[in-house]
Amino acid sequence: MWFKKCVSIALFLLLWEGIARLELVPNEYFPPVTQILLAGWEMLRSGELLLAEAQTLLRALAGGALSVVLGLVMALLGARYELLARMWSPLVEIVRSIPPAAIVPLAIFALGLTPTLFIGVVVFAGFTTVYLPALNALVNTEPVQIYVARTLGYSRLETLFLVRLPAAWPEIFTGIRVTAGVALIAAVASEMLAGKDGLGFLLFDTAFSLRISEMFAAMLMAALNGILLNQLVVWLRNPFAGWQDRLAQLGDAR
Amino acid sequence: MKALSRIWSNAWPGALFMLALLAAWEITARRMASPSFPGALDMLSELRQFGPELLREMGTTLWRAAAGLFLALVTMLPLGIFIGRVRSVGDYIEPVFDMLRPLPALAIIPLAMIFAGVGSTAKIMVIYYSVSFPIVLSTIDAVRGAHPMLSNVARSLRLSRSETMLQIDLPAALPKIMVGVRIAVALAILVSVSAEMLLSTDGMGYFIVRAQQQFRIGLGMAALLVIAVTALVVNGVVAWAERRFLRWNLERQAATASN
Amino acid sequence: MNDVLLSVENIAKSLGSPPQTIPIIGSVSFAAHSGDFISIVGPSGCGKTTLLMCLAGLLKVDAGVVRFDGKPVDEPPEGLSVVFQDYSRSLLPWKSNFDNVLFGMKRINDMDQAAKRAWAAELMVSVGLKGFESHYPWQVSGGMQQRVAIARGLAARSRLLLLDEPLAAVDAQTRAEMQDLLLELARKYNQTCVLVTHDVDEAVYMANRIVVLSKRPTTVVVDIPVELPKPRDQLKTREDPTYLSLRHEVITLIRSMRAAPASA
Repeated sequence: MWFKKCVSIALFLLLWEGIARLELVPNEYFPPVTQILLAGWEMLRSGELLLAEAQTLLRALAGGALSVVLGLVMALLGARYELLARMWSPLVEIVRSIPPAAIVPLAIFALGLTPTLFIGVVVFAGFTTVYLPALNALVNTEPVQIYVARTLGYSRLETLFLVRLPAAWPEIFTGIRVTAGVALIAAVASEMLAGKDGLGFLLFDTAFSLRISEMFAAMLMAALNGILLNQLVVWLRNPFAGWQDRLAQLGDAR
Repeated sequence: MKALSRIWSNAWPGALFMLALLAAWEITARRMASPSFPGALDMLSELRQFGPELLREMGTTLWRAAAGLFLALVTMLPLGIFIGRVRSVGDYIEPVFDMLRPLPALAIIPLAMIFAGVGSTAKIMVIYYSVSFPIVLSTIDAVRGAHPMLSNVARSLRLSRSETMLQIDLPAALPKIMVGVRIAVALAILVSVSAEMLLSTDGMGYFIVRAQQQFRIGLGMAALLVIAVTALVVNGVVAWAERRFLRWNLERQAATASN
Repeated sequence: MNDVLLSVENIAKSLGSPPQTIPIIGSVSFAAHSGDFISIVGPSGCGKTTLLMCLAGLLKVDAGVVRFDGKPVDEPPEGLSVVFQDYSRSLLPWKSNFDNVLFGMKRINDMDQAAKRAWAAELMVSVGLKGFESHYPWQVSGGMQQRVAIARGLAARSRLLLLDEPLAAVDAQTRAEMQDLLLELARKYNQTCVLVTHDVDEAVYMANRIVVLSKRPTTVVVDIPVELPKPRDQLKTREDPTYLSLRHEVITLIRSMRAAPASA
């Protein structure tokens, strides 16, 4: 499978290079791969790309982490106190349906062009994608396991943290993966609309100043961020939910 | 009547909470008495006043989303089935999608602007690009997970490759594909609004940006509310359609789950 | 005279919400004395599991009372352990077998951590799972998982052990071994047991009293002592005339219930 992937990507890049060199699309819009990589390298050396990258990544990470904490806390509370979950359910549904970018103008008004703005937008956009699957998993724990905990003498709170939460981690991490993606989108969106820095801003800046190769390089960087965040979640997931994968593998083998 | 009372007994905490929230908001706004902090009633009055215009702009946003979605369905469903079925070729195409997936959809917007300016074409291009991923990837997943017997059935009926794809692969894969379609529908609206905010000509996205520029926060909030409710309604309709037309799958899932 | 550990007094239980409530338990009464091994049998679907859940305090009875050690049961009481029918799902998949057994020691207050670990190790050896401590439940066979669940049930040294068809899904050979194991462990750790089973042979083999239940709504049809010598032996006991006649009696009873129409 690895082989096919490499061939596939190599073919893709070759195709790109070919289209560009043959000027099937004007080079101003469609620079060759080599040119893009060169431009990227230049930007890295000048620090322009690295700075933007660091800012975006930091915002996505910080905001993402906060979203996860908020979503988890809300889910735990909602699992313990059903009334609470029912109470804020309509609010969650509304927040979930608002595009992250759409909240930015309002947020600018409320928070100004501060770091809090970016983090606030990310948290607003990202906590529902953790909260909803987490709540669902916590509430739908295997009934036998709850009976076990009850008969063994564990309190409701202990059952929540010692049985329901560990059982829910696989589903929670699926939600965290989605949140990671949302965090990146929200960070980039707020930078595009509000910022003077970050990858979002860089993308439009390079586009407007017709530095197309540089723009593609920035897009490449943004994609790399996506991969990085995804890997981070995968790596974090292992101690919490790794058992589920091994269990599933065994099931498939049987 | 019984159904209504049942709905109420489920919904009253949420309804009360929202009312309390709106009331608290209104009270805070009145205390602050600042033009940049409108209250709930202000937002509602803006909603009433600009109702028709808001709906019109929402319609614009929606038709773009639908256009992008339609194009994606028409191109990506067959492509997904092809990639999933014809492994010899498909296995070389799929990695491209995997590679491009981590790129945030919004990052495409400057590129679209270069290619197509700031009109509807550019926006629909962006929507098309974004929703292609959930559709094609869920289709590939659906076709790959197909019961191996199905290919035997197709062969025994002597169906051509395209007939097989249409009459056997597609219906069998529909449930898993719907997972991707549901994501795509929500994403289409989201990206449409976002694209309109950045390539500002018209639509809800532009409306929000303009409201902010004119410091009309209440109006901006009203617009947000319209977007949220529209998205909820659209998603609800999709979920209803899925339940209605894929009932056989839900029951099958329930049956296997109870084992 | 042994004291009464578990007293079931005219309990009734229905499930479901009105108007579709189904009466499961009509009226059941019996008592378990300290040291008893009681088997509960009955036709399929008569509510044996529901009964066990009521005894364990997981379900509240609609009428009557369940007393454990004289006190009414409305929450799972201390001194009572349950081995569930769905042993596979009752084990926590993120914990190793050893940790699952440790998990059962919540109510033990007179041991420090080291003593608890030693006790868990001893239990694992008792159920024949030495060497599988660090395995996960899903890495071992069904029969082994069952033994982990039993070990966990024993971990708290509860005075009363409720077992819900613990051997139902196990192959015949393993079942015989497990039956003897359960009897041995109950004797060794001085535990009173209530076993719910659909297997009449098993019920007679293991118990010193059998309670036969009717169809739904369940009542006690008979409550008879099993006058067979202990320790039991798979060959000798099962050839004993008393065993055979008891078995005959119980199976005939259950058969007649299956033929008869269910009470309204």
